[in-house]
Amino acid sequence: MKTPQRLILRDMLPLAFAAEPQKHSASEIWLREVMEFLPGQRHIIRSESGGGKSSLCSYLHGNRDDYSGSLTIGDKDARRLSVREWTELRRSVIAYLPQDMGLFPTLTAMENIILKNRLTSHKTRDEIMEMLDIAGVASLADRPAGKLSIGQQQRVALVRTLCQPFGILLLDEPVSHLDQRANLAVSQLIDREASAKNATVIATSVGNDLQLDGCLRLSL
Amino acid sequence: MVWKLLSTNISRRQIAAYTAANIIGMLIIGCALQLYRDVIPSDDTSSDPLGDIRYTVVSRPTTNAIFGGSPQGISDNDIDDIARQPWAETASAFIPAGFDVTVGLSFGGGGFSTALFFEGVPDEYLDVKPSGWDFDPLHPQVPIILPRDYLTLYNFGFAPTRGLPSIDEQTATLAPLKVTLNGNGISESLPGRIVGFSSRLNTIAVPEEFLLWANERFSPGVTPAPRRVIIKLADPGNPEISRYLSSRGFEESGNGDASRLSHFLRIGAAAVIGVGVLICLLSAGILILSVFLLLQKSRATISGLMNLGYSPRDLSGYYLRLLAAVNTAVLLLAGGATVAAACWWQHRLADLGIYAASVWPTIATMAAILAIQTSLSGWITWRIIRKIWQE
Repeated sequence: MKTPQRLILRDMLPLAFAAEPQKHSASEIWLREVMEFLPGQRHIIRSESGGGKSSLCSYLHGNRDDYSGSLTIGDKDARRLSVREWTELRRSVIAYLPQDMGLFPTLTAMENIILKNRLTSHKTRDEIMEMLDIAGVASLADRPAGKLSIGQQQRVALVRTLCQPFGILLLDEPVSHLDQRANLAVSQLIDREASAKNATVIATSVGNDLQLDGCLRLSL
Repeated sequence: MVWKLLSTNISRRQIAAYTAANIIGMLIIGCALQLYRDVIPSDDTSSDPLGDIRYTVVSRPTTNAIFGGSPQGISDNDIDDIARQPWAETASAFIPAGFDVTVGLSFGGGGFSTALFFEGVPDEYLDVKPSGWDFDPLHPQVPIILPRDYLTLYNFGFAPTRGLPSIDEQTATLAPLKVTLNGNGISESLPGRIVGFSSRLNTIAVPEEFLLWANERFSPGVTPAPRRVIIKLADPGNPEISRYLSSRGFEESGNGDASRLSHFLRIGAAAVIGVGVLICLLSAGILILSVFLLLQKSRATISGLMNLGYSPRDLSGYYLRLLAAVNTAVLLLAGGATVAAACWWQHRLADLGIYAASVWPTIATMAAILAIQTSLSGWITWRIIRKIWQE
């Protein structure tokens, strides 16, 4: 599949927000005639809790389609994509870090990462260890994910997210549980990987932002 | 690693219950099927424990014949109509002789002779193909096949009471016979010989070729109507046979009991196979319910894996491999037990002169049932996982 990095939102609004205009009246994304995310651009999308950040990520990742308006990925309407096409997008186009991280607690940190990496064999084991090292969790590679702190889990999940080819990096509150130093480390890692792929970065935040240079900050 | 996650919620007890139920169901199906195939052979090349149930001879009864009536003939249309019935494979008339026959036997200066009758039978209906069963008009000699019952009747009924020696089939074929044919104002004697004994044909059979030749010579221009028809049955236990024959005024000779037994066995086997299929369906129900519960318990895991890029097909593939492994074990165990059971009864049947059918078609049927069951369960699994994707 050709890497479709353009995301275009037209008049998009979660159906649940239709009756609550106060939730989206000041939004720079919801109900915009055309909202476009282009290759190489980096966006921080800020909102309070309940503003629809996770909903937006779910729409962009194909988990939900309870919205009005339309979403175009590459040149295709997201609602018309088949299960097979979404699977292919998830493997090689859209890398997604969900807010709940989605780690499997019984598997070790490394097993969680390999579970993703084996789908495309994108990174070698050494490269994975190097990324874990940058994120400050290399020593925890063989520990069950369920035994890690939330901050450690967040960093392991981020490394796992980067273990695939991507044109769009979708991060739902990626540093919400990290201190300043860890935030800087993972921000540098994200910057390196996204730059190498000229990827679109979309990261949500409730206040603790990813420390990326050249970000467009949008309120939701 | 994926399997490590997906197998977390698998209940070994449920798998064991399914496996045990399916083994029992498949064993019942396998044994009933194999026993049915052993006892009711599907072709006439194998032994036939119920008698020649694939052949039957029919005639029209002659209730008033003794008071001057004559047997009712059977027309070509009758024979064609019989052959068109779905339970019939072929049908052919016994060709009657249009001349008188006397057979004499000379031995030690004495001898005896008796009036007989001949009927011509197409070769395909013979259960024996003895050497000498041919006819050459240039050197006419009459080969005869007698019913085996006649020899038995002689050996155990006639000979002991008259102080005559018993004779076996081999000896009987050595006896030189003088066959005298009378008709059309001609009387001619030809050498004859008993070439074999038949368990199937209750007549004194001569080659069709000889009878056509002799009818032409001793009753020219007269074509006697056949009075008996031999039918090769495609479906010996079919109850429609009796209904049809009665409605057309035919009477079956000899084969009715075997046919009824065959019908009874068929119903019995079908009932047992039905019980086996029911058990298999119930076990498949247990399996599908187990898979459903398993997928519900593994919902979060499946959802998480699909978020990583695993497709519903990838994930259902893991469950399908488990189902295939379990059903392969079921096939090996139930198939092995069926073969062992079949060996046990086939030894006993062999003592009765019944030679068993191959077990491979039975095993292939069991494998096909399990393959269908596996595919169906795999498809249901895939559908459930697809549903989890869409939620």
